Amino acid sequence: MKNSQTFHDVRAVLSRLFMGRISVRGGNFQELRQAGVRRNARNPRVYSLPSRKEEEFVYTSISPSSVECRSSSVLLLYREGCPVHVGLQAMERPQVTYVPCGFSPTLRGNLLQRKKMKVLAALDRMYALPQKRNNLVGYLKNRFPGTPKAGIFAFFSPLIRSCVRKTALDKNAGTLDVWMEPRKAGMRSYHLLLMKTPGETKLRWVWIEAGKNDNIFGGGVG
Amino acid sequence: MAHSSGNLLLGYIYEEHAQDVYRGALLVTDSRGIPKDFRYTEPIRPSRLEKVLYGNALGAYLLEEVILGALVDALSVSPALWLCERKSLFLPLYKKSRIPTFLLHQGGHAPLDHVGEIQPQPQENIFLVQLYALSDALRIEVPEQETSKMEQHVALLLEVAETMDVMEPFGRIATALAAVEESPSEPSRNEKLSNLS
Repeated sequence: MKNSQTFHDVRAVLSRLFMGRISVRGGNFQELRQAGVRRNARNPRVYSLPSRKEEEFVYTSISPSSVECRSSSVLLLYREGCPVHVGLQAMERPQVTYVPCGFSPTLRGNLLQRKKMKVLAALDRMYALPQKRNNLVGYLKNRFPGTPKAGIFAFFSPLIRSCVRKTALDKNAGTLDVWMEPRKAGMRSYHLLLMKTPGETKLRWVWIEAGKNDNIFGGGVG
Repeated sequence: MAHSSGNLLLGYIYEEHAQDVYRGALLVTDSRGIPKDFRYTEPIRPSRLEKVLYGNALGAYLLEEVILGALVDALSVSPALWLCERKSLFLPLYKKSRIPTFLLHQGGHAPLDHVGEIQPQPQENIFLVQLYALSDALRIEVPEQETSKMEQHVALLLEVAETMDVMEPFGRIATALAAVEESPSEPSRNEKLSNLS
């Protein structure tokens, strides 16, 4: 057997050298040795956070370099690209263990009770702030080009005239700051114009009731 | 059109987050823009543990569940319509309050032909609406469940638009938050602290 095997080997070598042939041997997969495969994947444990309902857990068993969990909103458990394995052991005493790149630090801590966050009311501060109105004169000239508006420099609307306590023109922003008097009644809406009438050098403010006199602008600006 | 009262209430929701700090505020005004309630949260700076636990969902969790929930629960008056400027709180607010909610965007939309015109857009639940004669069209997104009542809601908004600038309160909230941040040690007379459990 051994001599025959040697002879076959010599013949195979010589035929490859001089005739360019290689030997092909038959076989089947049952004769091949099964390779031993061990899963090195960790099995992640997923716990529902208190406010979450549906969880969908997605990970790869071949190379679980990151773990991704989805719930009603997306919940990703990883840490800046490092391989992370998360095991949340108990919600009462949260403990997160992660294994980034070859070392095993452990992070422990308590979840803050976010439901006890403070909500503050500050209506007085809001009362002190003015409402802002943008200068609409650009729209006026574009929308109604045929009407006489050459002397109008600013157009602010809508304003409830009876509730206006104070106004101030912000020349840099081109806006009008309007401080309102909350206790005063009235719902009648006005436009406030900054304009120069022909023959006069000074600019003056003019209130025009919305709706009633809008035809002077070509109609329907209110 | 003259109104007998300004008791139609609009609610404005506002959130901001920058450099790991989250905060939110609510303003309810009458139809003249006069504030009726204003609530804001203290800034939240998430802990390291929360960042690890929530990952990319941290922002959504803090804004939708913590900040929004606390603000809406603290509110003393109920508006007829909620208005949002940012998409993050649009649907969560509607789901929580069940009050019609609009996501508004102004600028870049050419004016429509007449005030009150509603122009449906190719995207579902989105409309262009002309609220004022002298303004761009307003882009409005509504929750799917509210699209059938769109005309009714826009009629309400048009009524309010006669007496106030509908978009203006968003800027006022931002100014108010900046003011309370600058002088937190000077609480106003009516300022109340409410702990929510």
